[in-house]
Amino acid sequence: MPKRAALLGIAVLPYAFVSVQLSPPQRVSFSRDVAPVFRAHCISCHSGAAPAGGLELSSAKGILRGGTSGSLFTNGLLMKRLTGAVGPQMPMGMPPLAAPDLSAIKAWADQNGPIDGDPSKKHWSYVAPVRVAVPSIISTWIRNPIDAFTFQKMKQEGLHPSPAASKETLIRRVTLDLIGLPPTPAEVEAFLADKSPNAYERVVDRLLRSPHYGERQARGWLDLARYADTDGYEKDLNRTAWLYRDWVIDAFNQNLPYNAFTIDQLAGDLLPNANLQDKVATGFCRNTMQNLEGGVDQEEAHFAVILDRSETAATTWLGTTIGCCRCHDHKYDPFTQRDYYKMAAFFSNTKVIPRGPKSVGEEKWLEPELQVPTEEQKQQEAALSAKIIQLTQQVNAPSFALESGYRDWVAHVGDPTTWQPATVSAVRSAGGAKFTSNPDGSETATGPLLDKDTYTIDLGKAGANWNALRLDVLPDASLGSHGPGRADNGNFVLTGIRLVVDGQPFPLVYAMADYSQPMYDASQAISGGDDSGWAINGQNGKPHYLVATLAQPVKTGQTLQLILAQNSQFAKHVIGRFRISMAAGGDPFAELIPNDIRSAVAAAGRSAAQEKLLTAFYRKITPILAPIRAELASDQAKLASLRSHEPTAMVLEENPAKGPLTAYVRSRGQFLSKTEEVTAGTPAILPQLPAGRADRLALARWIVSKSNPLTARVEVNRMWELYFGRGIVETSEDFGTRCSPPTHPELLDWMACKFMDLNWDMKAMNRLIVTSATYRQSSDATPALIAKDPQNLYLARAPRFRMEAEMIHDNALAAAGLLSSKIGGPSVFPSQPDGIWDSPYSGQQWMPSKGEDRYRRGIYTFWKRTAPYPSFMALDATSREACTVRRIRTNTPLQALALLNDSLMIQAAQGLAKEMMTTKGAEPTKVAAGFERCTARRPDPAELNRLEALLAKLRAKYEQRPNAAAALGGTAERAAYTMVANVMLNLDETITKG
Amino acid sequence: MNERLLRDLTRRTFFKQVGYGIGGMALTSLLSESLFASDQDPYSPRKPMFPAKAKNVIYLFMAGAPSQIDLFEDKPTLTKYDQQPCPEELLKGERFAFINGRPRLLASPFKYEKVGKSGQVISELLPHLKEIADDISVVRSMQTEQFNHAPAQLFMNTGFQLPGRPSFGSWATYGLGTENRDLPGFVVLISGDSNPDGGKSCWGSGFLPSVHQGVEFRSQGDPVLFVSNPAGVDPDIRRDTLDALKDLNRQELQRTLDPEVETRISQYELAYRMQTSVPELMDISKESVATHEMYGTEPGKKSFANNCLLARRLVERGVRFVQLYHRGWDTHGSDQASDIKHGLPDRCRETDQAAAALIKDLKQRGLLDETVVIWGGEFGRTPMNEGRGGSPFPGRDHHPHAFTMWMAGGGIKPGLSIGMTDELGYMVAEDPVSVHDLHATILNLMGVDHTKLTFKYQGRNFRLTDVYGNVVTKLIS
Repeated sequence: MPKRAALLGIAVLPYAFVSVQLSPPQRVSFSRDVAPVFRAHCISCHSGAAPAGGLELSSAKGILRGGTSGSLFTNGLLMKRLTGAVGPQMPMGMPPLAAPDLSAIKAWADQNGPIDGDPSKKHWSYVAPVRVAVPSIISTWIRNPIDAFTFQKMKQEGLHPSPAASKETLIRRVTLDLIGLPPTPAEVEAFLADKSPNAYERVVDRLLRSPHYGERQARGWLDLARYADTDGYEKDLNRTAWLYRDWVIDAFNQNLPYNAFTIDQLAGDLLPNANLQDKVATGFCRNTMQNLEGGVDQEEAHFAVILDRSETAATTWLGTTIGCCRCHDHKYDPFTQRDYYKMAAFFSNTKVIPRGPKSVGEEKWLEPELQVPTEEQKQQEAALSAKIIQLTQQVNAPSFALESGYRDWVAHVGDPTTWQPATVSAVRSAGGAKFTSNPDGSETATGPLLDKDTYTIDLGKAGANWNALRLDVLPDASLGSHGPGRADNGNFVLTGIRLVVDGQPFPLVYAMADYSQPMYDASQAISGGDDSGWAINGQNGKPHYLVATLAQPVKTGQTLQLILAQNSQFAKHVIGRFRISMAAGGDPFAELIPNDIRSAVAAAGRSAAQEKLLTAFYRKITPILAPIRAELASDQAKLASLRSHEPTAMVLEENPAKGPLTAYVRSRGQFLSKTEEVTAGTPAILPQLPAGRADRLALARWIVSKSNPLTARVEVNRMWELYFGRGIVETSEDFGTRCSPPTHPELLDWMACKFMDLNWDMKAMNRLIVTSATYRQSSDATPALIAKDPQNLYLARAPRFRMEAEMIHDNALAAAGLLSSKIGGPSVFPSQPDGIWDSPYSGQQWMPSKGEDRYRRGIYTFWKRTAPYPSFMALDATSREACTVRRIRTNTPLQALALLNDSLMIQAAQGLAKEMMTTKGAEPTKVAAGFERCTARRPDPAELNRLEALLAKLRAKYEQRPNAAAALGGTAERAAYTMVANVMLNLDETITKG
Repeated sequence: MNERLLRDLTRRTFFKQVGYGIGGMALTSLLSESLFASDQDPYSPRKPMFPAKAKNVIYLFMAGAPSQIDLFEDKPTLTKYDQQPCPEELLKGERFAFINGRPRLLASPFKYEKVGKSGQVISELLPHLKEIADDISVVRSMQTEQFNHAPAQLFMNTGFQLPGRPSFGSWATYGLGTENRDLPGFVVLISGDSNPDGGKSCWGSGFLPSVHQGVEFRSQGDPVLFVSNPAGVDPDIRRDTLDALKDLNRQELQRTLDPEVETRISQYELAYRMQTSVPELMDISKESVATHEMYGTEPGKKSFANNCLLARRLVERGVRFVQLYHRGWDTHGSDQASDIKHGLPDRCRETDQAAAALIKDLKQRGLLDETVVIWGGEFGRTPMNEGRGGSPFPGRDHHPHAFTMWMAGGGIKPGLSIGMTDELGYMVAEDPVSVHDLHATILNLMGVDHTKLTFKYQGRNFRLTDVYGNVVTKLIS
């Protein structure tokens, strides 16, 4: 029953349509299908002056002539040799050709080898596009030159354009396309009401000005830039990379021309007078994964980083997969292994910062990070700096009081002081530590040990008019490393020491210690905040003491209390054993005065330098200046804190040049197998690099020079793909000889030239595409259209395809009225199921964001390479481990589950329910409003009826199940609306751009 | 336009587009009448091209590559020359992942025994496998072309070393559909210390329709992400919402004639069915005590044993292709945990009992006849010590030239041992079996001619075995 079988056969149709688009049947082409195979496998022997077997395959003449065994096409000789039916089998001594190559050659040989073009001729994409004439077709349908090209193609294929899409469809489509968000109901209404002939263009211009335009455009670029928030290997540690992401968004919003956009990202740091933002742009290169795992040879890891940078640049700008050439010359494309390492050499001279022990496997190579203050931070910084300058001047200003105080001090420097132990009547620890008293009057902390603590010490009544206090910190066998701190290493950080007299804070003037760890001077215990203080690392396990002077003496009988704050970022760095003493009279710092001060005081005739030294020291310790100094210290602390909170960007920095940039060709791509050393240069098949220094800047300028045949084509093709779901060259990642043939080659070249003519103006190109009649067609198919062009290659209807992961997310939150419009900033952590982050070593956790950060656009979701956001992954996002040009669209039950049940989707449904319930009007109006928020159109009566029927049914059920209703967030009414909203958010139409 | 008309139309289109050439013919020959009845579902079960011996496959993928030298290959010569420098001729032109210079031979420290009526040679590390020696067929002459984990795993799973080709399991459901309509036709279960190096591409669908990609079932939380309804949504309410969704999407389909809408409707239906079938499947607590003892399973635990029991439950329910990954066989000997004396026995303890139990359990349930079980890694390990960085721990580097796999059930001849390596276990001396041969053989057991199971993509017919592959008829009963 052959007929029956055929009938049954066609019933497997979903294979053809489920999600993978089949390419159209193609006629075999010598230049496209056969010549590359000959080049890869045959011409090394069959070319030149004495070709093997007299067969020369590098020219048309040679191919037609055949070899000593005769014509290639007589009696199927070529195929017999290739299949081994007649020996020796070709390619001689090598594995047989792959099946697809064999079938292409067979098809070609069956037609007796027609040769289209010169076999030695370059593949079309390696020849610069030339301005082609716009087809001179007269049709009222045509709105701009793009349409002339597509119209001509349609005619050739016997097709005719579809009618224009409805205004509702159009505004939704273009709003999603340009800013990645759905239009608001008000925007839809305004557009429907605007009957002017350029109403649509006005919408387009509004969208191109929207700050959300950059977010939408950046999404795809971040896939190319393999942008992520973690380093990708083993522990997959967090990194601060988002300033680069914000740079991309901003660059699109500012409409930075594509040439400048390119140069900044590849070589912003090398530009003359590079500013901060130029440097931030080099984050493109820095987004490589980085292997800091123990045992990894960092030179080898950095080699991998360099290759990734070079391969990513080639894929992003040249649409070229050069990865094959790491190990060998490209099998099909005209790129050699030398080309590959010449490209890599451009990236070989950037700065690395070795850290850690100097041994292979232990040392880590970090790369530069740049502090980039926000505008607000810049302003705060400037204000603080100005104030600090002013206060410093005040401290240094001469005054009569200072003069006399100074003379008095000099006269008494080093006068002995007698310390009297203070009676500690009680010690309280905020962290719950207990204290035991020792015979020497000291107290030892035991019991609970928190990361931070504050001790409050009651000292009873002052026994004299004390003017100084002394804090001894003492070693103790019970403490880690014998103390005196409770941290394992015996250290502590005293972030603040404060005296309270009769319940009132009592100012301290200055503090000195017998030893202070570098950067943790005792004086910071009085003047600094929690990010500074007194610590003693380096002299752990030994007794130390700190002396602090009082602004004026306390009076005998006043009640004293001492507070020791220990709030540093270092966990458990609190004091383990201490003793307090007090003194009146003499010089409390007598034992601590630095030797140079001491000798300056003692000097018979002081030199000017000594005088200056003494004055400066006096100004530090005198009570007269205490209030100003306190203010100054507080401002300095604020400034330091501000700076430490400024975001950082990962940037490239070029090392000083030592001759030309070079790289070694590695045999079989192996790091250890160095062979020839090559200098930086561009692939031989492409135009030459102009004379001058061959560095990244030269590479970037070469990429965007108008003679480069690939750059403009590759980018306009990606733009096209964004709107039409498929590039004119479907394999947008590969413009090599094996790329899928362009459906509209002339249009591709016309657009590439236009893009360059417009000085690489991206917004202008986007505008051109979305204002074309081609773009504005209806996406509804007709049987005739499906029959003639099932895949819509010839665009006689608008494309219709499922939205990408982030757009579905944003669209749902926008429909729900939840979406935050905040642009930029650190990445956020929206809700996700437990157990996704599995970083056993790093201890990093998914800490769900709060407030509006729960509902930011998808582009801001924290991207962990080893555990990307699961609902995005279900919807074909990538892990961002490597440059991805094209996300493949799939259609799976797991997507259905994610969109039905993900908690964020439920929150969106609750939001949309609220929007419906607060809409004024009767139930149909409310339901219709919800539908419209999802689809930008009013439901037709059948749709509305179906949704209302569902609402009624669910309402009745939830009324019977108050607990279930409560679990969904409230009343039966609210629960029923929530589930109706859940349906609306899952409609094919809602998640599809049609 | 009504749906029937639409279907006719799209069928015609399909026929025009795909129904020519070998691909089209292969598909037509695969089809059965039941397909017509169940209409356009890509998962609907189809009759094989010729009578099948195996309906389902369970593939125990030992990621990281187990050492055949210590598990299956008893080599007295290797023992004799233990710690001697490796003969230079073996190293000529060789390339290793980690070995540098001239390594020394490394004998297996483990005892071998001939067991069962078949006299299979099995190491003391696999005592449970010995018990089923007469049920399995051991192939001692496997060869691959790749010697790094990710490419070799991809090659073993997709017949190609780069990501992007359809995996074995996806070809199987593409060709044969699956009998359980409420579960994915291709399920992946993972145990061991991490995911396989080849990543999710090992069970991807490449250019085949994505419905055929393997679905990973998690051992913690929702077994399939998002499979549970949110609080307050009972199954009947979920059904109500999906009914409305289906009605509205159908209207959309009629308006747009977009086949993706049709697929989406069926994916939402499958999702719904998964919501009940997945939890029921994953609940192994009701299995008998005897069963738990046999496998060494503990409900709720993430283990290879639990996954083996789940594999049995999956094929019992008619899931076409089940693949288990157990990672950690990469015994380089760079430390104690990855050496031959500690790491390797640990992996064996984690897997031996359950793998053997799976065979016994399938057999006692009469499922072994229709289920082919495959055990093996992506390549083998060197008969030489690796000694990376002077490591004192005995370990072996990657070795693509010769390794061992075993198979059982579903038409595999039991108690057979085929293939042989040289005296050192370095090269195959007899009956080499390539990865493509393995694929061709398993497809053959499933009643599919590997040269005719094709998919046309970018103008060419692709198949799992590319242009290679010979059915190893010796293996088939």
